Amino acid sequence: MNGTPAPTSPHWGQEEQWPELATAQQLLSRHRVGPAELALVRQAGEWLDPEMSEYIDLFYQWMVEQPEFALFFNDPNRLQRVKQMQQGYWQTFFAADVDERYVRYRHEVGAVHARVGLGLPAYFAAMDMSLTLLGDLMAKRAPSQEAFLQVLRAVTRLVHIDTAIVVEAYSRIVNEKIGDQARSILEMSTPVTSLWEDILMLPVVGIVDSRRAHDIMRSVLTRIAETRAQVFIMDISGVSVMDTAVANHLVKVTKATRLMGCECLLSGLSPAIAQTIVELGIDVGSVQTRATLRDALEEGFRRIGIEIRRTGA
Amino acid sequence: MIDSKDRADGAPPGLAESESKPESRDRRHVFWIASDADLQALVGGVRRLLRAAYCSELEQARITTAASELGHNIYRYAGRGQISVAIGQRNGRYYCELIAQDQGPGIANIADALTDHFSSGHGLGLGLPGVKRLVDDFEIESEPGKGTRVLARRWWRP
Repeated sequence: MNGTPAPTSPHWGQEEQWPELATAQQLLSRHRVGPAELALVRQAGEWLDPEMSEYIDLFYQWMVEQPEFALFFNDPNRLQRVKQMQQGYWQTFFAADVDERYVRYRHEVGAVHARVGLGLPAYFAAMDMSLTLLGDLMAKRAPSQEAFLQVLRAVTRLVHIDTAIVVEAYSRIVNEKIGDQARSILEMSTPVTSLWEDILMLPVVGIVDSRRAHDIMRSVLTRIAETRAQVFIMDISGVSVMDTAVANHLVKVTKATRLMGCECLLSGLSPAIAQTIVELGIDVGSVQTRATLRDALEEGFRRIGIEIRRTGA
Repeated sequence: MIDSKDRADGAPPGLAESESKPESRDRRHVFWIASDADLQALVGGVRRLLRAAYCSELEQARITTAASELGHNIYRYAGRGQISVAIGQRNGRYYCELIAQDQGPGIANIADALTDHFSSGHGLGLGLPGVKRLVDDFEIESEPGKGTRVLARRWWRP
C-alpha cells in the first residue's frame, strides 16, 4: 500500500478506490530534487549522449545472462523492441522534464513488469546494473572527480524517483489482482439452494460487504420468485465478523424476503456472535433466529406443514 | 509491549490504564484501509493476532467486530486511513489495542456520534457507541477538517 498517505478530501460513498498516484511535484519534493539537481541530470545526459549505445550493449550482455530474463527474451524481435524502449526510457530520463507525463511513462513501465510477471527484485537488479554502467561511463566523461560526484548524486536521486513510481504502479496492479480474486470468490459463493419443496437455504461465508449483500439480495429474491418458496434459511455460521454494517445488510435481506411472502430464518449464530450483537446494541427483534441450521430446518418443516417421523422400530 | 517496570505500584490493569499511551511503534501491526478488500484483510489479520494470544472466541468476536466497525468508519467517512493493532501483556492479563486514524472530515459533535441511533451515514447508527460498549478503554479525538483518532483497548485473561 501507499506508505505515505497524502492529505485527502472525503470520498463519500465511493465503492472502490486506490490512493491516487503521487504527483510529479510530490515526488520531487519527497526526494529533494530541485531545478539544480535536474540540471545536473541533463549535464549527465550530455556526457552520456555518445555513450548510450555502449551502455545498451553492456546492459543487455548482462541481462541475457540473468535467469529471470532468459525466458522472456528468447524471442530476438522482442529483444530488439525492448532495447529501443530502453533507449527511449533513458532519453526521457536525461531530458529530466519531470512532469505528469514523465510519471505516467514510469507508471506504465511498472504496470508492464507486473503484467508480464517480471518481479520487483529483477527490476531492482536491472536498475542497479544500469546505474553502475552509466556511472562508469559518466566517470570517463566527467571533467573532474567533484563534478562527477555531484552529477552521480543527482542521477541517483532521479533513479530512485523512477523506482518509487514503478514500485507504486507494481503494487497497485498486484493489489487489484488480489481484489479481483477476492471478488470472484465472493461472487461464486452465493448458492441459494432448494433444500426442500418451498424451503430455500443460503450459507453465508466470509465477509458481507455492500457488494456481497447486493448479490445475496438479488439471488435470493430471484430464487424466491422462481420457486415460490415460503421459507428462506440464511445460515451465518461462516460469517467472519458481525458488525453493525453486516447486521444492517442481513436485516434488509430478511425484510425484503418477507415482502416477497417468504419467511426468513437466520441460523448459525455462535454464542460469541450472539453476545457481541447484544453488546453492540443491534435490535434483532423482528428477525427470526435459530441456533443451528438443524433447528431452522425443523422450524421450516413445521411452517410448511411437514412432519418428520421415524419409520418402523 | 509495556514493560512491567512502568507500573511499580502493582495496580491491576484495566480502566485505570486509560491514560497510558502506546509505548513503542515497532510492535504495532498497521493495516491500511482504502478499499473493501482492506477491510477483509483487517478482520482476518486481527483475528490471527488474537488467536496467537490465547484469546477466547467471545473476545475474538468482540475485538474483530470493534476493528471492523472502526475500519468501516474510516472507509465510509474518510476514504482512507489506518488501523494499528498492538497486542501485549501486563500483570498476567493480555490486551489488544486498536488505534484508528484518518485525515477525513472529522466529527463535528463527538457527543452525538457516541449516542445510540445517531448516524450521519446510512447505517444503524450504532457504530461508535457499539465499539465503546465492546471494549474496556475508549478514547476519541477529532477535529473537523483535520481527521479523527480513536483508541479502543480490550483486556482479557488467557
